[in-house]
Amino acid sequence: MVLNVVVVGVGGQGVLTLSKILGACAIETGVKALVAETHGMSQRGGSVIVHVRVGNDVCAPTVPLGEAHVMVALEMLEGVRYLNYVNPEFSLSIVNDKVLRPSIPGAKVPEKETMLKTIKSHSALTVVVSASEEAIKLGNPAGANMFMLGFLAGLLEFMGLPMQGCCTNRVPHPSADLGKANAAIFERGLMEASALLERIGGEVTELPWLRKDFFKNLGF
Amino acid sequence: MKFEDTTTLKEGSILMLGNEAIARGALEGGMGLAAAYPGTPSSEIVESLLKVKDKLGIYVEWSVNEKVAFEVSYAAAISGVKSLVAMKHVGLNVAADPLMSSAYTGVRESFVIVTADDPSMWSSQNEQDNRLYGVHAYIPVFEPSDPGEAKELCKFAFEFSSKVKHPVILRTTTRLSHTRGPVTLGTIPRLTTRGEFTRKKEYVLTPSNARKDREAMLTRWKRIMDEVNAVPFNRIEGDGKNLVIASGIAYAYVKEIVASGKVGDGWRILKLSTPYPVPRKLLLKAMEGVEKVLIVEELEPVVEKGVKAILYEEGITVELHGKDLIGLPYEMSHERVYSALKSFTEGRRPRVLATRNTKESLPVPPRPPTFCPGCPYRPLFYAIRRYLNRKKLSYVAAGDIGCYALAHNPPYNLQDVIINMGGSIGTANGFAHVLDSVILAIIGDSTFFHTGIPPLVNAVWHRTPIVVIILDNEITAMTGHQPSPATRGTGATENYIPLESVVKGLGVNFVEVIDPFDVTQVENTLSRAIEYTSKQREPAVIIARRKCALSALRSLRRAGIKLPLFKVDLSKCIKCGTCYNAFACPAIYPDKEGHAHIDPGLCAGCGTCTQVCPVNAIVPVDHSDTYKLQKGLIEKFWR
Ligand SMILES: Cc1ncc(C[n+]2csc(CCOP(=O)(O)OP(=O)(O)O)c2C)c(N)n1
Ligand code: SF4
Ligand code: SF4
Repeated sequence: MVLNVVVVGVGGQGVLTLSKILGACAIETGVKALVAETHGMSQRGGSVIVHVRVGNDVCAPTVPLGEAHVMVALEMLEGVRYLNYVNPEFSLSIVNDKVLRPSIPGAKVPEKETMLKTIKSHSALTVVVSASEEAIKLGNPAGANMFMLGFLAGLLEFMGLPMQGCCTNRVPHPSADLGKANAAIFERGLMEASALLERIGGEVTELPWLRKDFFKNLGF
Repeated sequence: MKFEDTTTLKEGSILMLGNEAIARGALEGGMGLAAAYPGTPSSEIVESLLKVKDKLGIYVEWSVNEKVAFEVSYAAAISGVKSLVAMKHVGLNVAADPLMSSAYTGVRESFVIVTADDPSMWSSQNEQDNRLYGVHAYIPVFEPSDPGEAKELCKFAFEFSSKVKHPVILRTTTRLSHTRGPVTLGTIPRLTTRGEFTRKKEYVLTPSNARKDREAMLTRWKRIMDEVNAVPFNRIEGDGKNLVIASGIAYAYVKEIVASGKVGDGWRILKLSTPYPVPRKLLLKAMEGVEKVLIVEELEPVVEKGVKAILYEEGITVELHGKDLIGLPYEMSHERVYSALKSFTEGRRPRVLATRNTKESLPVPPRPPTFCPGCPYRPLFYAIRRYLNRKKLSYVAAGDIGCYALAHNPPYNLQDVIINMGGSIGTANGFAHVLDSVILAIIGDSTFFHTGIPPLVNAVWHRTPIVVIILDNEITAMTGHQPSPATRGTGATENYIPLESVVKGLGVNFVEVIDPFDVTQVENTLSRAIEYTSKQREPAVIIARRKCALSALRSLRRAGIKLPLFKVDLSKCIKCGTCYNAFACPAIYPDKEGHAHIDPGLCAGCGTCTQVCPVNAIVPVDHSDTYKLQKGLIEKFWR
């Protein structure tokens, strides 16, 4: 079994940091994980996609097109851009309520509602979260990635990977204040994941992989 | 876990970036010296080694270019110190001269040449397959399939090179170098860092010695062709009648597609980590009872040609496919492998390549990388663009590789030719002899030191009228902020080499150092330089000096200095769009009516946009006295 996650956003939003922590903690629980990053040109405010694959059967670093179980979009335009990775039948898209205009002369950004409609039509379930807004409220305007980390840690913990503690420990502390803010934002993400699990009542048919024993038959 | 905290670990499995895994493998292999010139996707190898060099007592450096890095590392290897040199694929073109010779002389101790190729050109000008350098130079090529294997294979490459006394190429790719995966740690032995040089004719490639070396090399090569059969990273899996030969990362994709059951069964896989030379005995063993062969590899048909040659020599005829089914350009994918395996067994391409989200999506604007907020290049290119437009000059801007290459994009549209490092001044020399336009050459500090000096000497020598603009942000920014000779360090282990002293020393008579933040100064100096070259018929050099915003902001943050913020006075803004369309700072965005706004989360406080607004609508948020104070403090770190 392999869980395929794509994390997308804009260079500078912390997509790499989020994915790296996720991968490191998955490995700490004893399961295999590969995290394929985009470096170089895409970091100067460009479009970024990171592939995170968790499960002992994983060999290749990238998520096959149309096979992602989860898409985490730190920015909505980027969420739309990478929809071809998302599985139409069984995917969960977690979308930050944030749009960043590409700084090219005359760039035309579609309306937020139109973008959301498109994402919803491509995913089995779409959850819109106010990660950036919460991050600003809790003291780190650049901390939306920590919200998403919390959300994912919550989901994976539910699926049988005990990684919440590891993620908590690895939340970055560039300074005392930012560390505190990041920890709080991470907690908000966790809570949001629990709220979702509660709302949909745990296991649902749209997301057949979102079940308590997904990682259990791996032998731990 | 940070790389610097891992050297004391002897066991266990941790998540490592492919490039960190290579660095770790080198240490476990006993490396005592490493040299490199940065380049995506190779940079993290030597970056990691730099973090532990003091702790382990080894020598590690950023060299001025790949050729020098190669020679530094080669000298260590022929003195008995195990060494590594790393570079991106195109870097090996720069180092190709010593590469060829190194195979002739052979080495005394391990010499591992890491080349990081870039299939799909994620951050490069081409996707050349450097396994072909192995073919060209008679150097065996090793190619890992995942980060865990990269560590083991790098360590093994050191052992192999030491055993056969010959250089070895370790070829990685962007996907592998920039994937994190589990790596099982081993012990780092005591690292030998002092060598001994024994005089030998082999190292002096005069024609008569070179002929002897050539023959000795061919003898070593015979042994290498034999030794690759015993490389433990090559193996046969399964016993079906359809043989897939997969090299490097292609193996990971093949393995997953075969295991998925989507392509039926009856497969046998020959996994290769030595694409060149192909292990003959192992191949023949894998061929036993096989009906059809498919070769899956990225880019050039290196394994395919090797296999075909061996089968022909052995008199084996068999249905064989490779590039015809898997395709040639770009990186490997599940979709490509699936399609190739299906066509291989069914004789025609499958209709649906894979599970695709076929619903119609929404067209979205591209998001290319841009200059960071506060980047010194933005006001510089804005000023050059404005000057050229106003004067309606006929010009050609010869460009180069670095962050500034982004100015090729709108709205600046500056740089008409970008081919390779140092190419700006080189091609400017040629344009000046055949065109009547103003010829500009645009080049960064790191690139100037890398390969920009010889073409500038050429221009001085031949009195070629070109205007060279050196963009001195005092760092190698594009590849992740490695130092360059123009970086003002502490001076303890590295000297600062001011560009103006080099340029004057080369004989350039017009040399001016300017501040790219000052739009008027840029325009005036450019005007004088153009006039100078046309009257004096010789080159002029402008050095635009201002630190890279990312590195300046980092030190400002560390020093706890608050940045001034800027805002748009909406009562003055005339919705002209100059600041967000022509100047194009990503921190400035328009509202629905076209009024400009500044995002306080993105603004770097550089204040350069205040110079471009025609009605002075952009102003500091703070009171002017507070602003002056802040500005003064900031200049100490940013100049
Ligand atoms: C032969 C070669 N080596 C390395 C690279 C990778 N590379 C791209 S740009 C660059 C250096 C850029 O530094 P600089 O000229 O100072 O410009 P900056 O990025 O700081 O603007 C390097 C090393 C390359 N493209 N070609
Ligand atoms: S990294 Fe530095 S040089 Fe490159 S775009 Fe950003 S500020 Fe400019
Ligand atoms: S001061 Fe102006 S140009 Fe500088 S970063 Fe802020 S908005 Fe951009």
